[in-house]
Amino acid sequence: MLTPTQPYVDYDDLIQEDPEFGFRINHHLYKDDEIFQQEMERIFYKGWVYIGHETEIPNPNDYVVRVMGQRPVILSRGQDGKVRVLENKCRHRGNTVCQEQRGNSKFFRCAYHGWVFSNTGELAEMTHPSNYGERMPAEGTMNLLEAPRIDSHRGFIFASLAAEGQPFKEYLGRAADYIDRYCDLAPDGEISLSAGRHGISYRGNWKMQLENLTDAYHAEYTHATALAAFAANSSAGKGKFTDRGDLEDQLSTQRDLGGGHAVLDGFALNRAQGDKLRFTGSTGTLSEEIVGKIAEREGSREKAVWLTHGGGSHITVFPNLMILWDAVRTIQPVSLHEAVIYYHPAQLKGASQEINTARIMSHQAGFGPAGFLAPDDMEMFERTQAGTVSDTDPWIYLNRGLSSQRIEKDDFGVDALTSQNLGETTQRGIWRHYKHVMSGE
Amino acid sequence: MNNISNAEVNGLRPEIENFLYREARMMDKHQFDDWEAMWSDKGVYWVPCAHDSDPMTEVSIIYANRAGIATRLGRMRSKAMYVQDPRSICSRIVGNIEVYPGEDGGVTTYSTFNITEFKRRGHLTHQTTWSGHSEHKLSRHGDQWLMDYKKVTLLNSDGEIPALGFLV
Ligand code: FES
Ligand SMILES: [Fe+2]
Repeated sequence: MLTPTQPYVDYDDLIQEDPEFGFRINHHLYKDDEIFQQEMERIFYKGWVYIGHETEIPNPNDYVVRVMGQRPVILSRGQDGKVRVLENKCRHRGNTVCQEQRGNSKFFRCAYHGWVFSNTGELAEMTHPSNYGERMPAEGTMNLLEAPRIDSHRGFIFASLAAEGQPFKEYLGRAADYIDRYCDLAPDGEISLSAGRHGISYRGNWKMQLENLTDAYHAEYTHATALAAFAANSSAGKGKFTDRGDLEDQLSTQRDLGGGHAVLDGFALNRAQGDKLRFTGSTGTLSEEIVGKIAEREGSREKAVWLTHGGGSHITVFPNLMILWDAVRTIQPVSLHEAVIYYHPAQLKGASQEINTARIMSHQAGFGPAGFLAPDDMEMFERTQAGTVSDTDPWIYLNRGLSSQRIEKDDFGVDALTSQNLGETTQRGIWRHYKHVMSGE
Repeated sequence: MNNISNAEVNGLRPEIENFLYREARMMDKHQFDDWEAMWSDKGVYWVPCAHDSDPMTEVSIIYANRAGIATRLGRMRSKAMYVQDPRSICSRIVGNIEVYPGEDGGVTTYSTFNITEFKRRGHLTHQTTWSGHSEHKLSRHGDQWLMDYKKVTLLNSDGEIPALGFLV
């Protein structure tokens, strides 16, 4: 038998920490196809991956199609009300069985030879079965393949294609606190991803977006025109970035939450700015309505104000979920040097339509294919990818904030590795975890 | 203002077509001031994601009122809008133009566009095409027509599209 030669990739060699040079990564991590294939296997087919949100499939028989790593799947709420992740692949010859982006259907019928699968995955009807004779597949062996592990937190559904592995709670780890805080900002304590989505593609490696969400350093430069525009015009989301200056430098922090999760923590800065409550995703007046409702729910205005103070936090959940301001986004690797980012505006359940519309407007002023922020990020990712061609010095040093980082309690009272927000503590955290996963430790 | 008749619309057709061709040229050439001058104070500019969406409850690619259009153009005029540095070289064909009487003496047009975009980044070049359908609502102001409303539905609007940094 012919066995493909497996070039050996040494992740210890590609991601290095050393007292002499600090922390550095080799840019082959963005351009080596063998590494990309191993990422699919080790991160996307073994580990927990974010798939979608409960509110995208609220009713029995609702479904959306997704891609897990590179494998097409259907996130389906079955006739029995149970949520499953099914491979979008007929068990006869492997055709995709679902061609729509989303919908409501009890069955998925493969058009090629007419096999019908229930939305619970079972093979409901095989055409001309007698032709198999004694080779008839045994009952239950030709169902759509199902992700063996699925779990959710505050409506965020994650799945793993491995039957065994890290328990879900342990995987989500400290990211849970920040997800909770985000959802608690809704008067009813729940967000809804019911306002559609848009997707932006870029010709760069998927990890560039993974690292970028907690890279506060680039904002002032990459986003100079967006910041100026937001400062100048209220209709595009005034108050997001204005008059922050030194205050941000001192008070905004970035934290490595462990497990590849990271956060740019907005609590201290927002608290220092008092009742402006800027980060609820809309204007101060609109936010006041929310604070009032949360205060009622929590029986404490103090708690409500605290929740809104965390509103500006940038949350990265390894490997593909990000939560920021008015939207939830996912990274979809397409190939070694192509990825898509999907943005789903997060609507606050229990808030007025006026507030939720303002959140949609505020989101799309910044993000999506023609927002003021995202396109310039994509441009930077494409330029970074272009730069990986030159191997003369393949090293990227991630030493910012290394000498001043410290263990500090965050707003949830838990110790976290922290540096001032223009550091690279979060990127180091992501890469450290990546190395752990990729080395199969 | 009274609505115009079908017969009048046919008479206006050459100048309406000319308006759309001129708009296409302003967008191709990134002549932001001239393009902005083609909008009325009412201006609403909408590039939806899904074909039958409601911009108040569903995300769009662009939804801007007149002030939002001005803000957008303010950013586009800058060299530091990096997704357009250097700017794309664009050539677009506008066709299949239909002109109908609109509200308050205005006209509504439907048209189809096809844009070829050429992008250069350092040593790299990239050429791509964009296409879709436009709906314009134009009103008359003295001797000129202005846009009250423009809806642009890209063919791939509900899919994954590259950063869109030039005008459509
Ligand atoms: S491939 Fe699906 S029925 Fe044959
Ligand atoms: Fe950015």
